[in-house]
Amino acid sequence: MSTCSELRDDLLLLAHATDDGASLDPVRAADVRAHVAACPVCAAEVALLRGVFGVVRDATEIEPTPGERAALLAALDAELAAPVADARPAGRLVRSGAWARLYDSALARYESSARFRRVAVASVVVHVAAAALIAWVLVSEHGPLRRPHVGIEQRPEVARLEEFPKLLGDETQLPPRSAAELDESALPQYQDWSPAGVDLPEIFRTPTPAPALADGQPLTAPTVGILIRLRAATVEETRDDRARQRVGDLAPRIDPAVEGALRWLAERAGDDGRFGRVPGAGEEDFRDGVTGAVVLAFVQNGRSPRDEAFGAVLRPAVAALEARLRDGPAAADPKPLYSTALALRALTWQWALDYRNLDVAARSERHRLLEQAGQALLAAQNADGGFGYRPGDARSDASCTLFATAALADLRLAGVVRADASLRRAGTFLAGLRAEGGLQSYREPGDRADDPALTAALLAYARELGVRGDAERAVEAVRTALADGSRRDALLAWTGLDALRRRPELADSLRPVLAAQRPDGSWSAANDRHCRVGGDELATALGVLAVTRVYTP
Amino acid sequence: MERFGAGDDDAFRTLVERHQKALLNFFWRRSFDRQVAQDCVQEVFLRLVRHRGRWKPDAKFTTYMYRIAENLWIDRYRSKKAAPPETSLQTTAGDDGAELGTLVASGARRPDERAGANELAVRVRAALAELSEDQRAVFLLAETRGLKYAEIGETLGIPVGTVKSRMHAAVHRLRGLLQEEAREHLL
Repeated sequence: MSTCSELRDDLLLLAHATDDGASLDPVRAADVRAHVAACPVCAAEVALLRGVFGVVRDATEIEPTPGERAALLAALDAELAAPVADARPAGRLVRSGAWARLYDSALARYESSARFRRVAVASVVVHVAAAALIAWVLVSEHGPLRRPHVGIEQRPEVARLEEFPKLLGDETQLPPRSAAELDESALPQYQDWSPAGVDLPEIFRTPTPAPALADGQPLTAPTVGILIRLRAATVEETRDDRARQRVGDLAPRIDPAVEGALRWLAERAGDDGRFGRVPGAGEEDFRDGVTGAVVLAFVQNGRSPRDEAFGAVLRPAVAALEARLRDGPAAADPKPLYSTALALRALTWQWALDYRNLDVAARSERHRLLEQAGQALLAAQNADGGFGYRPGDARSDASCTLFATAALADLRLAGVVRADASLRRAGTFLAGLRAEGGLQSYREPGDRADDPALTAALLAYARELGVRGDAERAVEAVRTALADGSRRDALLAWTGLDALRRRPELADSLRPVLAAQRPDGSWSAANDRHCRVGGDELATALGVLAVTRVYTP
Repeated sequence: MERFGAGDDDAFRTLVERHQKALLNFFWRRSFDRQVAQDCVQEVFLRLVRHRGRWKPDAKFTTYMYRIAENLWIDRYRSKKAAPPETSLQTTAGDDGAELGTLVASGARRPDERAGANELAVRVRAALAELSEDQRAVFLLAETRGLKYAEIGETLGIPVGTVKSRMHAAVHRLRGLLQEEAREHLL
């Protein structure tokens, strides 16, 4: 192993994450890492240098404003509409012959004259004044560029995850498909962005890739996080191992339960591609929310719109969700935040699953759609950190806040929108509605404080929300509720198994969920605490999502 | 860029989407004048459009783009001595013309956080101002854009060894000036 002084120069490269491995040859890199791992002095130095890079980056980073983006694109559109500049003369009109020589000569004399200079200066002054006047009009109180004045608490806090490419390279290859492709030196970088508790080297060493992830195209780094989960949830060997470890003898029942439910759902797609009951006059329309949950259930099991068995059902459903995010909620949608959150989650996962099969334009288009919808969601956050049933609803609700949290967590995982501070504020709001022991209330402290589905969701997203989520009383309440077979609650099945997925009692909690599945593959919404509007389709989608938790890291 | 050179304008819009923020920050950290930074970003993209036929696929696009950016900076603001103050120590981070959304997006999300972020931003600007222009160019290309040393050398037209020595000088100067801030950042 090298000494500290021999490695002094290399510590900078190691600390400088973008050059980590790029400017150090692999053998040297391994040597440096081994030394740093064993030497606290060098480890501290690397950490300090990383802090220097980080503080400079974070303290001085700015975002292009929408106005700047629009101005830039407008200027470029004008340029793109013009002929290619290299092919045209710079500056003057093309002239020829004696008239041209005479003209050029006169122009040259004129340009050098004092009068020309005076005229030029006057012209610049007039133009600047005119531009200033126009700008003042545009941004004045009622001008078109005037941004609405809102308090800081209400501003969406959106940042593209530019730092992901900085850590992983502008374009990062997918996790390797075999041990032979494994670059051990890259693993720490992936590990930094992985969900807690995931053994990435173990996942990357699994030999079989998910089919949709198998081509060799580069993938932009931001989706690595979500792909890690997708891979873990869809690669057969990983799934089976994980299920066996977690639920023992129930493991063989998971895949048939999921497949049966997906087949049942596929037969229930509506004419417009959506799922759920078509409402009668004056009735609530929750089809967008149901469709979001159904698509999420398919996608989290590796079924994409390109899938041979279910693609024909998923393509129109995905198109309907895109339209939902673009056009806003249906007038009769009783709880638009739910359908927004579910649509966002479904399209985020599907985007990641299909990423390599999309051309650049389709990738960008979806990215833009997700980002805009994510920003709109953030803009709906209330000053208290919570979310209401619809944008502008100042009365925050725990359930809405948890749905929004799940969507924001997925967008972060996918590298589309980072809203860490928003999530922490949501956590602060939810913490205010928790009873002793971590049981979650709805809108007021004590309001349906025994609701185990919300308590479970809080446990599942405790890390993202920045709240303590390991209260044993809360875990016990969730476990007890799941064990109560007389109680229909598909939402609890989903959030509860999510919260308990790494706990030893998972098998006991899964058993009643599997037992409630009907022979035709569906789950019933009759007497369900949360699925009355969404019907059997929603209960079944949530059932699939619940049992799929067994596979999820 | 290759597709754009072949006439696909949408490909260029994708490039703009991908690089606008990074370029804006590149010029922002050189000038700390938002209008100057925005103007420079626009000029770089306009030059890319005008010279779309010149880029060769064997060159890395980011290297090519930052060479244009660096040349623009030298032409416009350094050699002509028309540069705005290199650091606006008289102003706070909130006085730079940035909209509220920028402050929010850059991390200053609550009033208390914002005040702290402003002070920090001023200290960091002051530290960057302590670097020579050459050191700052290397540091910003390496750190904020993630260019490799060889690419920085190509961008600036200097040997890799010079890049390395300037980078070391820059980082160790900043390390001395921002030690406390760096430690806090790691917490």
